[in-house]
Amino acid sequence: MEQTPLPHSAPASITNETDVCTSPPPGSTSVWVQRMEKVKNSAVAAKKQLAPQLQQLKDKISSKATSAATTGREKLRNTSMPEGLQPAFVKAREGMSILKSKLSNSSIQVQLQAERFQAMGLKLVSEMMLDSQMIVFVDEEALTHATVFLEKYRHITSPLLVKGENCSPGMICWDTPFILYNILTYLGSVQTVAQCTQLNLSTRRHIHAERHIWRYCVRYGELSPQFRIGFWSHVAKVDSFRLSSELDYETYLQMSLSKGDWTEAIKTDVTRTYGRVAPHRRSSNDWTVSIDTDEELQHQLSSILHALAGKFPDVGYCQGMDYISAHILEHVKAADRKFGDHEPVKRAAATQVQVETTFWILVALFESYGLRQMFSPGLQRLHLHCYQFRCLFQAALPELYDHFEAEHVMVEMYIVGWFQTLFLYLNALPKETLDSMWDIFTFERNWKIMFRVALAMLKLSEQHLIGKSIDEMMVFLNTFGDDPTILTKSKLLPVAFSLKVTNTMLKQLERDHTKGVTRRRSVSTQK
Amino acid sequence: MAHRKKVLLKVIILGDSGVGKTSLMNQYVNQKFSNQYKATIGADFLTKEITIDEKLVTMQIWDTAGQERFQSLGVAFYRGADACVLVYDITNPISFEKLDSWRDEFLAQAGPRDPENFPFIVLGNKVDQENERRVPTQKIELWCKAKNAQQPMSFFETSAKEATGVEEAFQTIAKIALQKGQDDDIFVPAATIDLSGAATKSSGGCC
Repeated sequence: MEQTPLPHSAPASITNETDVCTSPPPGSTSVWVQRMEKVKNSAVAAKKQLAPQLQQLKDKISSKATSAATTGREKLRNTSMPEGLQPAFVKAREGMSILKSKLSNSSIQVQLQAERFQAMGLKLVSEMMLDSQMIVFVDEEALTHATVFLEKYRHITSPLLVKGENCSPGMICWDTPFILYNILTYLGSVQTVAQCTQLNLSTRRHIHAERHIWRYCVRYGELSPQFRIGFWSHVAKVDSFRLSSELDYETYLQMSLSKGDWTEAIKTDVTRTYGRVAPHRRSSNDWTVSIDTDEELQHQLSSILHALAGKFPDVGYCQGMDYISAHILEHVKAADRKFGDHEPVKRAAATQVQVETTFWILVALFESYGLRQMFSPGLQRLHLHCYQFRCLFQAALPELYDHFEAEHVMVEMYIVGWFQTLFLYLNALPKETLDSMWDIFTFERNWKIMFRVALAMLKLSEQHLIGKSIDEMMVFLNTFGDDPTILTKSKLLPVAFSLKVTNTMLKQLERDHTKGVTRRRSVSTQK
Repeated sequence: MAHRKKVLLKVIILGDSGVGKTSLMNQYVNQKFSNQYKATIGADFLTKEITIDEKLVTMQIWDTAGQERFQSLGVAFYRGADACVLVYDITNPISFEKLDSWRDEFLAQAGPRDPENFPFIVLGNKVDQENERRVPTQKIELWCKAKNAQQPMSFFETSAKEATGVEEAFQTIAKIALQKGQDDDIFVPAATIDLSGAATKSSGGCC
C-alpha cells in the first residue's frame, strides 16, 4: 500500500543524472564492446535456444489446462446438476474456452515478444556503445523520469556473465537489469512488462524489484482497453476484497433491496445516468438527441448501486456514485465484448459476472481510494480535497488564483463536479485522457494525479480565464470550448506531472484542515 | 437605482433530487427541454438578461445538487443570494415535505440580513403529469401562508417540459427581489449604502 520512496523526487538532481548518462564513465567502454561482440556472435544461437524453451512452456501449460479441464468435466458429469447450477456450468465452460484461447495466444505472443526483445536489445546495446548515448525519447519529460531510475542499474553487471560462457545472450539480457529496464522503458507498455514477468525467474525478480518501471509505463505508455479492467483490478487488489468479504454480492444486494432506503434515490438517478445531456454544457446542439434508454443497463446499474449501499450502510447512495459505477460497468462490458456476442443464456451469465466485477472494483475504490469518505454524509473528504486544492492552486498559480478570488469563483464551483465523479462530470474531457488518469489513479493509489490534472487544466487555461467575468469563466471551465486541445492527453498530462504535488504536501494540508475544522467547531460550541 | 446601469440578481434554485431544477432553469434561460439531463453535481449557474420596469436586470440563476448531503456545500454557493426558488414535484409528496428543511438550511447557510422577509418563491413542478398529482394545490397554499401570514410566499405550478408558468414564476421572483433590494436601499441611510449588500450589485459581481 505504501509507495516506494522516489529517488528522483528532488528536481535538482535530474539535470546531473542526465549529464552522467550522456558521457559513460571511462574504462567501462572496453568491457561493453567485448560484451557486445559476444552478444552479436551468439544472437542466432540464442534464438534457437529460446524457441524450444518457450515451446516447452507452452506444452506444459496446455497439458495442465487440458488435464484440469478433464477433471472438471468428469466431476460435472458425475454429479447430477441442480437447476440453479446451470448458469454456473455455462459460465465455467465458457471460462475454460476463454482460458484456452488466452493461453495459446499468450504463448505465441511471448515467443514473438522475446524475439523482438532480443533484436531490440542488441540494437540498443550497440547503439549505446556507438553513440555513447541513451535511448532517444520523444518526450523529454519521460526521458528524465526513465534515466533517473535507470542510472541506478547502469553499473550492475549480470551475475551470469561472471559465471562463464554457457549462457545465451538472451539470458544475459534478461539478467542484466539495466538492459532489461532499457528495453521495457523503450517499449513503454504495461502489458509487455506484465508479460515479461512470466518469462523467467530473474526477469520477474528484476521487474518486481523496480516499481518505477511500472510507474513509468503507466504514466507514459499505452494500455490497450481490453486489459484496462484487469489492470485496475490487479493494482486495486480487488480480489483480496472479494475473497475477504464476509458476504457475497447477492447478499448485499438483497439486504439493500429489502430495506429499500435508497431505492427511490437510486431510481431517480439511474434513469438519468445514461442521459446524454450534461446539465450545464451550454452548447446548443445537444438538445435533440433521441432517447435510447437501455432498461437492462439501468437495471444492472441499479443493482450495483443497491449492493454498494448494502455493503456500505454508512454511505448509502450519493450522487456521483452513479457516474463512477456506470463508467466502470461500461469498461467491464467493453473488455468482455472482444469474446464476441453471447447467446442469450450465456449472455445472462456473462452479465451477472460483469455486474459483480464492477461491484468489487467499486468496493476496492471505496476502501482504499477514499471514495467511502468522499460519499458518506457530510462529504468530509470532498471538503478536505476542496481545501487542499485551494491551497495548492494559490501556491502554484497565484496570479490566476487572485483573479478567481476577485471574481468570486470559488473552488467548490468546479472542483466538486470534477472530484466527486473522478472527472466524469467534465464532458469535454477526451476518453483517452480520462482513461489514462484513471490508470494512474488506480496504480498510484492516491489522489495526486487528480490534483495535478485539475491544476494543469487551470494552468493551461490561464490565458482564457484572466480578465474574464465569472460567467465566462464558468462557461469555459465547463466546456473548455475555445481550446479543446488543452484536455488532450499529450498536452495535459505532461503539464500535470510537472506540477509539484506530493503526499507530504497533501498530508500537511490535511492536518491544517483538521485543525481548522476542530477550531471552528469549538468556536461554534462556545457560542 | 436609476443611476446604476445594470443590476445583478443572484437566484438560487433548491429542492429535492429529480424535481426538475435543472429543467426549470434551462427552460427559462434557453427555452429548451430535455429529459436526458444527468444529475447535477455541485452547482452551476446560467445568466439571463431581462427588463423589469425599464431596468436592465441580469439574473444569475444557480442550479444546485438536490441530494441532502450536498447541502454542506451551500455556504460556498448561497453567499450573496438575492432570492431563492424552492421547487417540489407535484407527483412526489416527500419532495413537498422537504421544503421546510430546504428553506431553513438556506437561511442558516446564506445568513441574509433580514431572514423574515427574504424573497422566496415556491414552484410545484411537473403539472404536465396532472393525473399523477399527489400534492393538492391547497396544501401548498396553506404552507405558504403558514410561513408568513402577512406576506405569504408566492407560489406557481409549473411544467418545465411544457413551459407552463416558468416565465411568470421567474419574472415574479425577479420583481420581488428587485423590490426588496430597493426597500433595503431606502431603508439604509444614504451615506452608508452598502454596495456589497444582499440585494444589488454592480456587474462583475461582488457578494
